[in-house]
Amino acid sequence: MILAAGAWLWGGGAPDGWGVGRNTRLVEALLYLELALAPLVLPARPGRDGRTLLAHACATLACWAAAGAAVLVFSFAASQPVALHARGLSLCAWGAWGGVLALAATGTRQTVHATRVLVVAVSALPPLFHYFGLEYASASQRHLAAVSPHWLLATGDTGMAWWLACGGAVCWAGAAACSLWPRRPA
Amino acid sequence: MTRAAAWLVLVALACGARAQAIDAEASRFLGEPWARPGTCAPYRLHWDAVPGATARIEVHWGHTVLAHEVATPDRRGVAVLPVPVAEDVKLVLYQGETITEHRPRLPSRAAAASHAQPYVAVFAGDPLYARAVLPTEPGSLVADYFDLADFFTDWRLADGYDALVLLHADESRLPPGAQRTIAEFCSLGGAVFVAGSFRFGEQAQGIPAPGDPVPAQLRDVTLQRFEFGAGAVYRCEWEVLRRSRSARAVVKDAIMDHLWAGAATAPGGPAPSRAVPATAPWLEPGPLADGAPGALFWVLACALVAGCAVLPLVARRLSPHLWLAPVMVAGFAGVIGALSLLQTGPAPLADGWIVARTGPRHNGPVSVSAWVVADPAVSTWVVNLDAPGPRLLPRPVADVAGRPAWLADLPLASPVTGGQAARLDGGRVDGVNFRDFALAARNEGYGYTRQQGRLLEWWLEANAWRGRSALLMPAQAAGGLTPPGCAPRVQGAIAITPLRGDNK
Repeated sequence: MILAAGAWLWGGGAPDGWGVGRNTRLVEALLYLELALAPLVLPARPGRDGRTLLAHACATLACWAAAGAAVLVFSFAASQPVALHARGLSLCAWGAWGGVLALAATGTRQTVHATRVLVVAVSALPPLFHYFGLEYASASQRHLAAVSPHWLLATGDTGMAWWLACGGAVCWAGAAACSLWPRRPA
Repeated sequence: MTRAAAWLVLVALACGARAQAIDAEASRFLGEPWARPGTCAPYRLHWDAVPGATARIEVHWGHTVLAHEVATPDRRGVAVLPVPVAEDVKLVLYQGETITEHRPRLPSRAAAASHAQPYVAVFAGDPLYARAVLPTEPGSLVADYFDLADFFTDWRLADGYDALVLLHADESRLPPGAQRTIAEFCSLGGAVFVAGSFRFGEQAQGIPAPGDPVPAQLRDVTLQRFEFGAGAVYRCEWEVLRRSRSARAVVKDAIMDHLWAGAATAPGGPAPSRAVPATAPWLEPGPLADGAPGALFWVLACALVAGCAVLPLVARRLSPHLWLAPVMVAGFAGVIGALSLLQTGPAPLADGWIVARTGPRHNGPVSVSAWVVADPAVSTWVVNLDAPGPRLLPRPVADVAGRPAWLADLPLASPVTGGQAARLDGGRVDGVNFRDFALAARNEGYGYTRQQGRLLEWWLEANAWRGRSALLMPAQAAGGLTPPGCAPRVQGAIAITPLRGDNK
């Protein structure tokens, strides 16, 4: 998907108003797309056993690596630090959302779907809260950027996002606890 | 003690060791309690050093990083370096594997730019005597006092001052590099008052000579004024000043003579300062550098698509384990990603809008202030404070169209070639209202390009006040100021020659 989007943008498919050319903006657009894809395409098959959890972890790793490779392939359009510096943020985002979905996968299929919606909301709503806060209460909600990878990317904080990393680690630990300790029979 | 408790104690000790590396109590701005916000001021940093090691100190200021390295022969590390007087500044000390951060405590009183209250650094063999001769009087003059032996060897330490005053100065009392610092400070428009046998411009290597001396009588003291670019050096004999009944008034009159451009009254408008102005010119950066895919891109892209499609099938045939396919895809993608780094992208571009300041002499010293807007790929502009080359100071400003931007000052810059000069006098440029002139220049009149016209319009709005005279001309700059690794692209340049009211 990232390769197809990159080819489309490179071919001039984007409207002029988007400001995406065959330059740094192309790589930035692909980074936004990569972060948006994380909660949507991660496989999360319901199950409460160690094998399923291992499969989730490996799938998260594979998705992060493949998405990173797709972005890096387009690094001809910009100086490489643009794509390379965002790897830390990307790892935190994929890891965190992977952990959340792995935890949700210990439940039912409906839990997984609901969690996907929740993850999209959590990562997308903070800028909206920030806007409303500034508009109606003159209060900045800048601290919410820590849980919004897109916001962090927009502000140039492309290093490690520690709040996301810690949240992801807690979710992975929770998923491991749910998967590895057998459920007490009713 | 359990193993967990022991680990906790070790971690606590490690945290404590890191926190104590910089002595926050002893470190301070040398001008305290005064400093000019938005400019750099001399800051003395104390830390517990590793004997025989080299410490690297970085000053992080928005998109700007000022780097300085210092050898520490013993356990006490001390360095004086320019640190911006701003809220968002932090110092990072690298010592071997140890990294320590420190946020400097800002001085309590702001020496705001003012026509009536110059901010002065006074250097004397006896700072107590200097304090008696030239005391700080808020509303009239604000002074910081230093020993002559501690004279700045980098103009960036004197960034916040309007003038430098050297009392009882001779060659032996000043450190090497004083000539260059004075030359750089003056070329940026500063005034230097020297009382003593120290002769600026003589026996100096690699700096332009000052203009011919112009005699001046200030109260009961006869002194000489040397023009140097947009700045000036005032010099008198130490004994003459010492015997004067109004030494303080003489020094202040000399400074005001320069700041008021030879007029008896203060000019109108806000006082000039090297801090970033509240209003920036209209900056319209050009397009980003485009890249073109090579053969490697096509190979890697095809390989990535094929690998992601085929490897899961192969893994399923090889083993029933669910983890094998993702691991194979991850490894393959890692290889593709690594190979992608072999592609070379275009060098990032940095657009520059240059305002060159010259003196009235032809081929005299030139200083440059450049608005620089770089490619978004450039996250920081790292300046090595120890480099012998051009000593520039990029100040971070608000991003322009999502791109990092700076206002960079460079003293003793390359000469610029210009077009036809127009004279600004009394708010009129060659007899035309300055706003009409700026509008015509913006529409490519009077020999200006559109970008030069916008730059001129911004400069006139900030400087066309009562008592301000200057020669203005469109200019061609040989190269722009750029962050390391960027290719310069000069969008527009103008040259300004400030004029004195008395035409001296």
